[in-house]
Amino acid sequence: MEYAIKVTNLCKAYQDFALDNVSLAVPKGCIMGFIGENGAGKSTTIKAMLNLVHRDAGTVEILGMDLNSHEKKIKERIGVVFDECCFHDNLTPADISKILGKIYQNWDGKLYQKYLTQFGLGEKKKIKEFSRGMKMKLGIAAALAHKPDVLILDEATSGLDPIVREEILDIFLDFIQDENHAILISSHITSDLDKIADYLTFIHHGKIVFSVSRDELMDSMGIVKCGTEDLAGIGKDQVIRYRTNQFGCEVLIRDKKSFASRYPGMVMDPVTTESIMLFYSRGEEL
Amino acid sequence: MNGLLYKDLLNLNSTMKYLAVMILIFCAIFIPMGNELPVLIILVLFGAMLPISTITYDTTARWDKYAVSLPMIREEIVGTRYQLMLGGVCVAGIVSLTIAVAMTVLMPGKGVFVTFINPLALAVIFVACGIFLGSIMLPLTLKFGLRRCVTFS
Repeated sequence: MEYAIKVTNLCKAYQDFALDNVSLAVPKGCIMGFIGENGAGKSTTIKAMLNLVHRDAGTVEILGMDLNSHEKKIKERIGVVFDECCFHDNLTPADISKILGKIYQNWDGKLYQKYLTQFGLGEKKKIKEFSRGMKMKLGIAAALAHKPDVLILDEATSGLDPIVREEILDIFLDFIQDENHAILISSHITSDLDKIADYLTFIHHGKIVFSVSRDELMDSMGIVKCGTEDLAGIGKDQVIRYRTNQFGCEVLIRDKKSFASRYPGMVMDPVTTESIMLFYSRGEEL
Repeated sequence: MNGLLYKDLLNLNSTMKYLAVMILIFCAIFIPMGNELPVLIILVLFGAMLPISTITYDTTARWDKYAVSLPMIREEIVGTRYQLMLGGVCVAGIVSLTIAVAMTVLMPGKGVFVTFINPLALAVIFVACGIFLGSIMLPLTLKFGLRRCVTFS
C-alpha cells in the first residue's frame, strides 16, 4: 500500500504534555479522521508534521519524501487549513490570490475563482466582513487552488453550521476521487468523520490508541448494555472499556461476532465514532 | 518571498498613507523653522519600524502559523522582514535626501545639519542609523515577540 502521509515515532515533550511515539499512516486515496479530546495532542501532532514546532524525535514522510530534506517540495504539494482563518482582515480574496499566486508554483487563479463562486465569496469583499463560515471556506479555497495532493485539516469544520459543513465535506469527497490524493482531518465533530473517514486514528494523552480502518472498527466493535452484576460474567478478553450509569453499565466489546456466539442472550448495539471515543476517554478497563 | 513582500505592502498600505500625512505635518511645522532634524529622525524611525508593523498585523491575523505551511523555509520568511526594513530605510533615506537638497537650495544657510554636511552624506548617515536601529529591533522582536519587546522598552 502506498502512503500519502507516514508519521513514525513522533515525539515532542512540553513541561506538562508529551507526544509519545505517535505513528500514523494515511494511504493514498483515503481520508483519515484524527480524533481525540481537547488537549489530546491532535494539533500538536499536525504542527510537528508541518515543522511548525520542533520535533524531539521521529520522522514525517509526505508523498514519499522526508519532511526534513524536502520541506519546500512537500509544502508545494500539500494544502493546509487550520481551525481559524489566518488571513488579514483588511485583505480581500483577490489579494489572497495575488499573494499566494506569487508563492505557489502551481497556483491556479481560475480554479480559486471557481471555488470562490461556488462558496459564494465576493472577490473584492474585505475578509473582516466575512462570517466564520465564509472565512473557513476561503481557507479551503486557498488550500485547494494550488492543486495539492494532500490536504491536512486541523479542526477545519469546527464552529460551522451543518449546511456549510455538509458543503465542505462534499468538496473533500470530490477531492478524494483522485486516488493519488489523501486527507488527514482532525475533528471533534465525529458525525462528520462517520460520513467521510476511511480510517480513524485516536489519540489520547499524547499516545495513539488505535489507527485502523473505520469499517474494521465498526464491524468488530459493539456496545452491550447490561446490569453491573452481568459485567462480571463477561470475559475480560472481550471487554475494551466499560462505563457505568444509573441504569447499569455499557460495555465496549472488542469482537462482536465472537461475543454474540458466546453470549447469545445479550443485545448488542452498533458503535459510532463518538461512542468509541467516549469509551476510550471516559470508560474504565476491566 | 515576493508573495510575502507583496502581502506586507498590501497590509502597510493604510499605515503608509498615515505616515505620509504625519511626515507632511512635521515638514510643515519644522522645515519653515529651519529645523530638519525632527523630520529626518521620524522618517528613519518610520522606515526602520515598518517590519515591526507587519509583525503586528501578522500576529493579529495568526498569519505566522499559516506561513509555515507555505512552500518557504523559515530563513526566507525572516529574510522578507529584513528586505522590508532595508526598503523602508532606503525610501526614508531618499526622502531625507530630497528634503536636505530642497533646504540647501531654497533655504541656504538654514538647518541644523544641512549647513555643514552635504545632503548626500546626511542621507547616508540617517540610512545607516535606520539600518542600525532596525538591526537591533527586528531580531529582538522576532526572537521575543512584539509584546515582550514593548514591555522591555
